[in-house]
Amino acid sequence: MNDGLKTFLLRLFFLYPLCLAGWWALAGFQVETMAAVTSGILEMLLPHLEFASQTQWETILIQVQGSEGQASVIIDPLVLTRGLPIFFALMLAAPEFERKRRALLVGALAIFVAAIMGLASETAVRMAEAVPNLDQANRVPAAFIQIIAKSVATRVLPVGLWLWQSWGFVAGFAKK
Amino acid sequence: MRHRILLLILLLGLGTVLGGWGAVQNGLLGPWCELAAGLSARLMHLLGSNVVQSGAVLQDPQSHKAIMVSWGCSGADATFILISAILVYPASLRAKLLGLMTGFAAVQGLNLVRIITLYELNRYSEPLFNFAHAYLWQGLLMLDVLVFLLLWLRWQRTN
Repeated sequence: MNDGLKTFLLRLFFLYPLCLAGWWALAGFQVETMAAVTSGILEMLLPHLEFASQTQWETILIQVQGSEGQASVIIDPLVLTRGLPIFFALMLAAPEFERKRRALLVGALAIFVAAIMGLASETAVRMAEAVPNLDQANRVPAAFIQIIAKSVATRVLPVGLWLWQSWGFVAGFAKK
Repeated sequence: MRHRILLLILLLGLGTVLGGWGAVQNGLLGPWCELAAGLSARLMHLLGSNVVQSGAVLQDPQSHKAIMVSWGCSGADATFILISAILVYPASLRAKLLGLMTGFAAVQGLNLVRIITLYELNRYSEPLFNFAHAYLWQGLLMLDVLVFLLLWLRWQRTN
């Protein structure tokens, strides 16, 4: 393997545990930020409902109050950001990384935004499930957005963005 | 070549939508999960475990702690990513077929290791089980697919 693949795989082998540990160490910050942003988005999109959020280590408790009733939803938002350590490990292990630091930040931000969309839509679905008369109109579109956002945040963006940015590396040993 | 990456991304999205669709989960992935649980149980029996399998559930007869192999733990999503990528890549039919067969075996083999380790972790430590289940193994399986694809790309070039 003289085309950089061996080096890449070795780097990936060591970098993924480090990135996972760093991501886990920042779990509290991620959960706090996602809770605040998601509550704000839901209040903006559903002004007839009142939202309040509390965070614990890896979970968010979102309470929603409407004229039809109230619901409490507990969600693990880190499930939606678990693509971040994969993305960071892949980007850092790629040989062209030095020229692509900005892509790392933009990609991380994109994954985080997709994760927040997933969290907001999951909250909407779960609260509609909890209270039958609460915001049923948005249940189906929210369920669809939830599936797409989770896929985008955890698989499509981490792998797709790395592949896009490192295409020269991948194509270098794949082409005849 | 980048249009193929876009096609791949679309396939990945489609796979997730299908995976999230209840009818697909119950119809196709239900038997798949039971098969994965059954193979894991057989492997654990070979290693001296006395795990009890019932459908997609693996239970420890002493502590009665159990895990259920759901569609997220079947390795179906990682397998779909692998299939999509190999189908999209412009390789010969022989290379694609060989890639699909060996890739399927690589992903499902690692998935059996995942199920067995999760079963053992669940017996001894719930926090460790939760971490490994929700975060660690998802990433490892994804990286397994990527590493296999890179090796396959390199192999099909030289062969």
